[in-house]
Amino acid sequence: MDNFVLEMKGISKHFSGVKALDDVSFNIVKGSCHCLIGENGAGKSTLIKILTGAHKRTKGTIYYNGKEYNPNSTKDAMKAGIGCLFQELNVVEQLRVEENICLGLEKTKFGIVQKNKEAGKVFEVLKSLDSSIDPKQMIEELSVAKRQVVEMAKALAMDSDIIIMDEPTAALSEEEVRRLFGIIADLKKRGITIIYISHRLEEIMELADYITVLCDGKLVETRKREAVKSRQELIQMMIGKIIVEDYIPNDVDTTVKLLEVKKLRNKKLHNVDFDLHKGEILGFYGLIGAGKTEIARSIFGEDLYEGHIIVDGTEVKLTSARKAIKNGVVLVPEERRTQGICTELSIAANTPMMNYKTVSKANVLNKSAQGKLARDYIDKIGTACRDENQSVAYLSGGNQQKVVLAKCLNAAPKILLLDEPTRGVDVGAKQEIYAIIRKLVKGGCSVIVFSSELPEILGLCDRVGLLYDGNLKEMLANNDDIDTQHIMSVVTGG
Amino acid sequence: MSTSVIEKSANKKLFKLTADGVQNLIILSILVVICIIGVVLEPTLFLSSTNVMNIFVATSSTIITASAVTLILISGNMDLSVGGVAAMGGVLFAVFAKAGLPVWLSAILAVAAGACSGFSIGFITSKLNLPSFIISLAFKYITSGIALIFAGGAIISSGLPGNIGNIGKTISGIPLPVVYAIGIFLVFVWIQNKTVFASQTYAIGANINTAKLSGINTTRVVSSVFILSGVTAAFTGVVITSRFSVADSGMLPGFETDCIIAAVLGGTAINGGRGTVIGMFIGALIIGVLSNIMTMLGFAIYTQNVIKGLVLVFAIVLNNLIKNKIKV
Repeated sequence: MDNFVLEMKGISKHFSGVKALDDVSFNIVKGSCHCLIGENGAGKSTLIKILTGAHKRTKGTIYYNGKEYNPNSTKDAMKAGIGCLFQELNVVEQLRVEENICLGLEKTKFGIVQKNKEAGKVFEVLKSLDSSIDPKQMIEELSVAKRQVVEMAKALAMDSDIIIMDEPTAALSEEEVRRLFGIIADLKKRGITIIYISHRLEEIMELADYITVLCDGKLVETRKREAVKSRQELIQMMIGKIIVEDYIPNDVDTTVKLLEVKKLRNKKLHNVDFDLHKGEILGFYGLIGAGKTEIARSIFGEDLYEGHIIVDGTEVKLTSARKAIKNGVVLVPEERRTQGICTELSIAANTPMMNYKTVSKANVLNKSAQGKLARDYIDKIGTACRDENQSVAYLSGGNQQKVVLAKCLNAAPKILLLDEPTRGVDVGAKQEIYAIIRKLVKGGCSVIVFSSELPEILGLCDRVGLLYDGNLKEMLANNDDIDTQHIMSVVTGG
Repeated sequence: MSTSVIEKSANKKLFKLTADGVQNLIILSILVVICIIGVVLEPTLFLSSTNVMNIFVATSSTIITASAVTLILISGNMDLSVGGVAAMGGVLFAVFAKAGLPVWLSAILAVAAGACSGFSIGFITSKLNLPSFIISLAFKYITSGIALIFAGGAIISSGLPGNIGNIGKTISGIPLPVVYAIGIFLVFVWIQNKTVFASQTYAIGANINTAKLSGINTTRVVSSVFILSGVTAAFTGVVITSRFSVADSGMLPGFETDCIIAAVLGGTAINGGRGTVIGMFIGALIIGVLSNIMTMLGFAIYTQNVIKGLVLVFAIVLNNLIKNKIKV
């Protein structure tokens, strides 16, 4: 009988109608390295947030060392013995290593910090993990890898049973990754369980004792590492059966290039070249950090870039969103709430934001024209709302996205860039948004969709660009013999 | 079809007030209650025409400048410089007039100096992405320092031309400051409701990232709102100097807080994105009437300050309450 440290039974998590996790059950063996994989949005992060107490589950039970486990906060989780290395490390850069270690541990007497036994313990652990770290060093002088070690030492000193690592190698060099793997092996020997999340399948194949695959919030399966023969098989498990909505080829005029991008490069991108034809929907697919958002923001003038961007035959240097919009390039940004809408304002106030000319004369606003514009788009796009005076804050994610679309359409774009257009949007609204995009290209506009959801890309786009680590690896025509396994292999660095 | 939608929304409006509507209703009631208290405590004095005019004259400075400060708060910014700018405007006005320039030209030059100060605050704030709170605080010192330098650390009262009082005098019983206040207030009501500029100001205050990604020129808009406050503040200084024929380098102590209290009482969100100039008008009157009553009752200025501070806390709490309760 296996010795389970963590048992999850029927875990579900709903976010205002969207199922982020749906009836997920699996167990984690004590002292093992249990890897969690899945595409973006598969539910890995949600699961971790539930385990670390950041989110509360909607349904299900978790048993931790045989007892029911209900953390109310990350602090609770840490006390119980579940530590986590988040992607964004929890260290204060302006403090020394020792001060960081004492944060949260410190006991105070009359407001004065007491260096205590616990801190001493952390130093011991720290020494045993990496003796090159001096407790007197400032955190900002340390590499990301060493910061991780500091965090790990902190978790270990709190007698953690389980350490969760979320994409720990994302910012590490090859050598540092080796060191980390050494530490993980060491931790396992001490009987500590590792839950490891990564997009890098080679790492998974090397590290894992068990692999759990999630897809669309559902558990696909949990397997022993030995039962997985190859990386290819892992990919197969990850994408499962991709259900592609019927792809309808758009009426593309290949003689007209509405946008040409040549040698686009910046900190993140390496010489990306592509064309966009008139009436085409072009897709870019890649995992988080592959460079999708960077391409979108560069073309939209929000990120610095080198290279050439030619819109409708003329080379332009877009240095701000304002210039891009003037040139007919419009972006539906990735983060809807923080970049796409003004939540406190009404639908009517949000709609004309990209182009006030449609509701004003000589900069004098026509309130009734503004109301009418908003109502027209509400009807056209099918935004579910009370009326145009409703605050955007009280709309669902899908309807908020429709307000963003209305705002962008009001700018009469020639080229519409959509970055993760259906993230956090329920299934019904997704289809409606796809229909709007398809209708748009019929009117002679061209669209680029940046998405980390393959079904979305394959259901919409005429051509698909595959991105990995800031490189455009391949540009495929979307037809019947498009090979999803090949696509997954390319975007995971194969 | 579309008419029925309009009718429906019109119907709802009758029964469901917006957060701004609720705010205005509440503070208007507060104003009425305070006035009633005034009448009860000082039945004859409070409603006398001189006293009513006094209240309006005293409030006019706040209304003139807070009209612009309201827009600044809506844009998500803060202006702590208006007291200093008013003093600088007043002193420069006197200096120019004393030097022999025509009074009207002196006034324009003084107001232009205010515009420069406002532009500097707005431009530095938005171009370099710095908190306006601290930049405007720096300019409070710069402008009030300039006022002190030119007034020799005190006041300018001698050597001023005889017609310096023209701008702020009372014509056939109507004090010009009150006329300016109402005129400027109406202009700002129009700006707030009818211009693209104001819509962009709301957008910036509600979410500056969204505003930028929507192609709004945030530097231009933020610089403009600060120019407006520089202009109105300096003009306030000119009017006061003219009215009393004295330029006081220490005029209007606590002016910036008065403007902020008026705006916040009127429902302007301290974090931006929400607020109305009409609300500010009522808010300014509340402070004016309150000060007036307290002075009549012989409260020391120190006590009045304590009460003003409490009113500001109350205003922000009320604001928050309404924002969280009224979901439209």
